[in-house]
Amino acid sequence: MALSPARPRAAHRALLRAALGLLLLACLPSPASAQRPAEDPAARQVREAVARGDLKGAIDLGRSLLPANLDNPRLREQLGGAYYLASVRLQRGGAAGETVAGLQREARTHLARAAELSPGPLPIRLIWTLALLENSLGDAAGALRAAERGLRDHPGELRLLTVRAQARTALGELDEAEREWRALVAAQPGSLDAVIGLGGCLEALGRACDAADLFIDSGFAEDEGEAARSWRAQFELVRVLVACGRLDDTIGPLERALALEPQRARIAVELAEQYHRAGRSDDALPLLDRWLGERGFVDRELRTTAHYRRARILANRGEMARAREDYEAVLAREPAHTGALRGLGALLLRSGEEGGRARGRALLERFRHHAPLSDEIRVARNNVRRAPDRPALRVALIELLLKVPDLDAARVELADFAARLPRSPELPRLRARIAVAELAPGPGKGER
Amino acid sequence: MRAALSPLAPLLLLAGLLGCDGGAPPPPAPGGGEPTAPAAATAPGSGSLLPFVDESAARGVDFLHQDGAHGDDFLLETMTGGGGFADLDGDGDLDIILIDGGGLPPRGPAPRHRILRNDGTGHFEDATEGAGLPATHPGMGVAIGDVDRDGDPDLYITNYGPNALLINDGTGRFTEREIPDRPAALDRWSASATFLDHDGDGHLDLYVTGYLQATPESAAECARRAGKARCAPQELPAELDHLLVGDGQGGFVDRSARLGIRDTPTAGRGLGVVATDYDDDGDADLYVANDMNLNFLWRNPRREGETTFRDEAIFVGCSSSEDGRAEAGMGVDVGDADADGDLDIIVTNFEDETNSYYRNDGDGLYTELSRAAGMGLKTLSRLAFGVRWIDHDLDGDLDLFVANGHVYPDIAQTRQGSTFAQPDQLFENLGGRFEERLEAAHRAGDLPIRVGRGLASGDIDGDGDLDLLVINNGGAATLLVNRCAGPAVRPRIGLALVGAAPSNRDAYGAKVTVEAGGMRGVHEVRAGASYLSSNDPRLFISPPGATEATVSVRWPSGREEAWTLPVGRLHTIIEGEGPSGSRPMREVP
Repeated sequence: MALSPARPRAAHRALLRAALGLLLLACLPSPASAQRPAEDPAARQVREAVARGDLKGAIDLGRSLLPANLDNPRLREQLGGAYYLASVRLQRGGAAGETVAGLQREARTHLARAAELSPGPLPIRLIWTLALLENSLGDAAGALRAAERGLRDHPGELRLLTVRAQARTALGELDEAEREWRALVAAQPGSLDAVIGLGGCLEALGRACDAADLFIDSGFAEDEGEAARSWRAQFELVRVLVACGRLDDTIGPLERALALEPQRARIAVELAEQYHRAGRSDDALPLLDRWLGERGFVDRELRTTAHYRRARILANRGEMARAREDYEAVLAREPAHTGALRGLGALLLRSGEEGGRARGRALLERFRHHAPLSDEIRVARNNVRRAPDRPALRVALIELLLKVPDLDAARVELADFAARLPRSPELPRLRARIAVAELAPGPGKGER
Repeated sequence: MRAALSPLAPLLLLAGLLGCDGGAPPPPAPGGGEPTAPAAATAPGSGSLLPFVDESAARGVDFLHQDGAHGDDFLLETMTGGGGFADLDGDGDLDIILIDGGGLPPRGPAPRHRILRNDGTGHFEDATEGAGLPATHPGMGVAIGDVDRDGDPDLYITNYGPNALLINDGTGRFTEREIPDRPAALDRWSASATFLDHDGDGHLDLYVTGYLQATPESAAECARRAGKARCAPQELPAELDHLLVGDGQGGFVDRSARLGIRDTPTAGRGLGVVATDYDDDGDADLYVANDMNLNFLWRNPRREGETTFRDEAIFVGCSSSEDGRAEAGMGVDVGDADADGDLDIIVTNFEDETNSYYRNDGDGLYTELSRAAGMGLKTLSRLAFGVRWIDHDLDGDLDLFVANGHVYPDIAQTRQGSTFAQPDQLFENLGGRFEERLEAAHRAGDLPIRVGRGLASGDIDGDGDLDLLVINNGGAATLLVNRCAGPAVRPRIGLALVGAAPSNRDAYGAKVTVEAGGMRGVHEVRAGASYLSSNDPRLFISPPGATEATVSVRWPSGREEAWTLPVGRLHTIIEGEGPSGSRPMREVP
C-alpha cells in the first residue's frame, strides 16, 4: 500500500514523540532512584529544565552549578542526560557529526563520573545511557564494560543485553554476539531493534544475504507493519541489500524510508544515487534539485555528495553549465575530490572555452595525482579500523594523508592515534610532519 | 561527431531480440545453394537455445590448469591461466596454446604448457611433445606474432620469472631465443603482452605489462604487518611495463625509457593490454588495464613528429570509473560496439566494480557508459578477467563475452553471495543496450561455472563464426563452440590479411572498413587483447542480407586498397597484391 503524504508525517511525529519520550525517560530519575534519598536541589533544577524541553537552559544551569557540586552524582547524572538529549535532538535535525559527537562526549563525561560517584547499584537508565554513548562514540570496549556492570546489578535487563550485543558486534566477537542477538530476538518477538541487531551481526559475519533474508522474512520489505513504519528498518534493509549485491532491490525500501523521514537528507541522497544507478536520472535529478534548492543541508559533507552526484547526472545529460557549478561547489569544499577533479576537468576540456582547456588539463593532472592516493588511503583506513593498535598502520595512513595533502584528515587521524596509543614514539615525529606541512603551500591550498 | 543510426537498426534490434535461433529468414546460401537449417544448439537442461556449447571433451581439449597453490595464499596462484589461438604448424587451421600456472620452485609442480593441434575439422590432439615449450617458471600468458618475418607465428610467454621468446620453425616446434640486456623486470612478474609495430618499420615490437614486485615472503610480511590474511595489490610495490623494439629477425631491445613508457607517476600494476589506433591517425597506440591504478592510454607520438609516448587516458576520459576511482583493471578489448565508425574500449574489473565501457565519442574523448548501456548492475557481482567483443550471433553488431572468477578461493566463506568460481557472461548488443544471455544456461547446468581467467576467440572449425577458449584457473579449459547459426543462416565474410614491407607481415594495426548490407563497420587487425591471451587475428564480419561486401584496408604502411568481395567465403588478401585466394565457409552439422 502506498503511504499518503499525510501519513508519513503523522507517523513520523508519533515516532519522534515516542523516541524523545523514551529518551527523556531514560535520563530522568527512575522509580528506583526516586526511592533514593531526597533529590538534590541542584539536580532537581536541571531535571525540571529538561522536563520543560529547555535543554540549553538545563545545560547552562548544570554547568553553572557544577563548580560547587563537582562530586554530586545526581547533578552529573542530570547534566549528562541533558547533553545526551541535546545530542539526539541535533542529530535528528541533521547536524554535523562532529557537533553531535561533541555533545555526546560531554554527556559521557558526566554520566561516567556520576557512575563512579554513585554508591551501590546504579540506576539502570544511567548505566544504559552511558553504555549507549560509549557505543555511539566508537568505544565498544567501554560500552561492553558499562553493560556488564549494569547487568551485574540488573541481570536479564533487555536494554543492557541489547547494548552488550551491540558492543560485541562492534568488537568483532561475532559468534558470541550472534548467540546474544538470537536470544534477544526470541525474548522480544517483533522487536525491530533485535532483528536489526541480528542482521548487522550477520552482515559482519560476511552473511549479508542471510541478513537481507532475515529482514525480508521479518516484514521489512512489506508496505504495512511496524517495519514499514520505521525508516531505520528500511535503511538497514537497504544497507544489507547493497552488501549482498542486490542493488536492484534497494529502491523500494529507500522510497519508503524517505516517505517516513522526508527531512532526512541522507536517505534522499542515497535514493537519488540508486535511481541514477538504475538509469533513472529523470527521477534522481528532481530529488537532488529539491534538496539542494529548497531544503539545504546542515551536514556539509552530505551537501558536497549531493552536489557531486547532481553534477555527474547533469554532465551526462549535457547540461554543462549547471554541472560545472556543482563540480565547482564540490571542489570548493573538497579540493582533492577525485570524482569532481575528473568530472570538471573533462567538462572543461570538452567546453572549447578559452582558458578552459588549460584549467581542465591542470585539474586532470591533479586527478592523476590524487586518484591512486585516494585508493591507498581507503585501504590504509580499513587497515587501521581492523587493527587500531598497530602504530605502523597509523603512521602509514597519516603519511598518505600528508601526501595528498589533506591536513584536516591527518590531524583527525593523529588525534585518534594519540588518544589510542598516547605513548607511541611516532607521535612527536608525526606532529612535526603535520606542522611543517601546514607551513607549506600545497596543491590543495592554491589553484582549484 | 557521432554517426546517425543505421536505417537497419530496427531490423538489427529485432534480430537481436530473436537471439541466435535463426529467427531471421535465411538469405540465399553462398553460391546459390539452398539455405540450410539453423544449427543452434538446444540446451538439455534449460530447453533454451544456447549460443555456445561446451565441446571441450568432444574436441580433445583436455587441458587442466595447475594453479600451484600450496596454502601460501600468494596472489600469483589465482592470477594465472592464459592461452590463445594461432596456426602454429602452418597447415591452415587454428591450433591452441595453453599456458599453465604450475607452482613456485621447489615445492610447486613444473608448469605443463600445452599445444593442441587442430586436425582441420576443429578437433584437437596433443602436440606438446617436442614442441620446445619451457617448463621452468609459473606461466602467465602469451603473445603471438611473426617476429622474424618468416611467415609463422612466434610466441612470447610471460611468466612469474623470466619470460620466454620462442621462435617457430614453421612446424609448431619452438626454440627459445634470449633477449640480451633485457630489463630485470622481465625476469620477475609480467602479465599480458602484445605485439605491435609502433614505429611502422614493419618489424613487430613488444609491449609487456609488469604486475607486482612481490614474492610469497614479501606478500606474507605485508599481510603480517597489516594484521590481516592478505594484502591488496596496492599495498605491494608495482612492477613497470616495458616496450621492446624488434629488429624483424627475432631480436628485441628495451626502449621503454627512451619512448617515455616510464613517464608515469607510479608503475601501473598492468594486467591487460591492447594495441589500437584510438585517434585514427595511422599509428598504433596502447591501452593498458591496471590493477588498482589509473589505466594508461599511451598515445603514439610518431604522427606528431614527437619521440615519446604520452599517457592520455586521464585527458580523454578512459582512465577510471565514472567517479574517478582507479579500479582493478584486468582484461581489455577494443571494438566498434556502437557501430559509429570508431573504436570503443571495454575493461574488466573487480567485484563491486562495474566493467568499464568507454564509448569513443568520435572527438578523441571517451564517456564511461557501463550503467547506461545496461552493463552496470549485471557486472557488479562478478570479478571479471578475459573479455572479447565478438558478433556471436552474426547479426552485424558486436556483443561482449566476459570470463569471470574471483581471486580469493575462500571468498564464499568470507563474503556471502560471492563465489570463487563464477558464471561467464555474454552480453548481447541490442541497439546499444546490452543484455545478459547465459544466466539461464548456467542455472540449468548447461554451461560450466569455473574460475575464468584468459579468454581467446577464433574460428576453429572454419564455419565463419567465432568460437571461444576460456582458460580457467585451477580447472579445465573450456572450448565454447559457437552454435548460434548454421553456415547459411546469416552471411559472413572472413578476411585474412598478410602485410608486405614496410608493413608487418601479420598486418597488425591494419584498419579494415567493411560496407555491405547497408552497414559500415570498422575493424582492426590484432591478436593481443583480453587477459593473458592471444586471438585469431582474422576478421569475421556478418553483414545482414548481403551477398557481397566492399572491403577497404588501410595497411600499417599507410597504403590504402579496396575490393568488392563475395560474402560467404574466407578471403586471403596480400598487401599490394589484393585477394590471393578464398575458400567457402564450412558447413557444420
